[in-house]
Amino acid sequence: MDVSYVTSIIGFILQGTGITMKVYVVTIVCSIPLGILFALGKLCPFRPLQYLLAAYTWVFRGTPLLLQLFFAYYGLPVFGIEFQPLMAAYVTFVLNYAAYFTEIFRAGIQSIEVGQYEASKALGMNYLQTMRRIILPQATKVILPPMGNEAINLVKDTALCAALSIPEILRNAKVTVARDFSIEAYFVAAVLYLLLTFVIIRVFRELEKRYGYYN
Amino acid sequence: MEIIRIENIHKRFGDLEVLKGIDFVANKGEVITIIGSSGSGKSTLLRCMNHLEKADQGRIHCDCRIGMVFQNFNLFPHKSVIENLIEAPIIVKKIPRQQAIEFSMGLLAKVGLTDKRDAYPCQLSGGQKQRVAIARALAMEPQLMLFDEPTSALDPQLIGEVLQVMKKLAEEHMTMIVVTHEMNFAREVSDRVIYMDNGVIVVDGPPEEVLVDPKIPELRTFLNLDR
Repeated sequence: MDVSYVTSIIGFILQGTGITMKVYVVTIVCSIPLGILFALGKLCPFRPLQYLLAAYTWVFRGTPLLLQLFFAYYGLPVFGIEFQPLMAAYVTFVLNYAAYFTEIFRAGIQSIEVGQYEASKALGMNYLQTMRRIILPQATKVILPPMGNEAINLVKDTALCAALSIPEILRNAKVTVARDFSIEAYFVAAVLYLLLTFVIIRVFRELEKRYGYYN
Repeated sequence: MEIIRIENIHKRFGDLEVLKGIDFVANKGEVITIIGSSGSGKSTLLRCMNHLEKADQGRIHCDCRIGMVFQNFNLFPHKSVIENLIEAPIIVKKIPRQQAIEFSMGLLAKVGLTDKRDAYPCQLSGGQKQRVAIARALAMEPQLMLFDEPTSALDPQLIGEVLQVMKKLAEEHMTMIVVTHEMNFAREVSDRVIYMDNGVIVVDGPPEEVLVDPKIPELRTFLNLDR
């Protein structure tokens, strides 16, 4: 491998890393609160809301993310909704990941035993206080491993943005390969993805350690 | 002075009628134990009193604060002992944190666990957990304390320390309603013993009357008196 060649292309691919991280951060920051909200909705006794959310998680977990991206970018303009490619990616990723997080949070909340609700109620706490102070903190510990999986998946899923010509890591690598007839750019991309997932793995290992103080 | 009045409470779970019309009054300062075989409805009655179960029919009059102690402790595992105690006073009663801590340390002293203030529930024995649970309920300054089989999940050698704390509470004239299988506690500590069977109150009287030589055959069988 030609080192001087690699250094010459690395700047361009690193620019893509900025976009990748943007999509990543927007998705995480928006889809986690949405997931919590939808999970609470799924657990509330109001039937129509349950059905609506069941349909939502089915559609977004049951179709390919790439298809959803195409639909948001090429399909929605038919209904008069037009997004820039990056905005289409934000919306799709947030809704897609929120669907997974909804199910993870729902399972996490349901894993907390009913005695915790009863103790909270007996102490005079209302629903929101019970959720915020007692149930969700305990559910967080339970959901960390599956959340870690999703957090790693998301790093790699951002590569699908290349299909909308968004200049993220893979797109920039592909452009470089096509221009120079040389595959080094793909290696650079792979290393960048590995570095990003490495950071995510460490973050979650730290989080699990932090929540490990009780059984 | 009446602290809680229950009129004609009915409760069913599906086809099973667990409470079949309960009338009951507890007066301030009374210690009442409820005994009966499992399935007699005694825990359900207790849980109706603080609305953990919604009665299908009947009325509950009580405008005092009720504390409750559970068979399985139900401590908050992610919070230390002191945090378990101050949580509700701070969140529900909006008491300043420092004041809540001072008050709670007094309660920990009362149940003999001051040295465990920063321990987590998983580090405690069953008896210690239940004493913390009692202190946590007391932290809300209830006028009535409900105990739902507080020693049933404990190893035999740990039961004494919990009963000791409850006895101390009784001596301080806390109003207490205790569902229990501890007949010695019922006899020594309570002012009234209630025997429930099949969703109704069969006997309600002073312990010597209910426990020593009752006339009702079912109660005699339950107490193992006819061997």
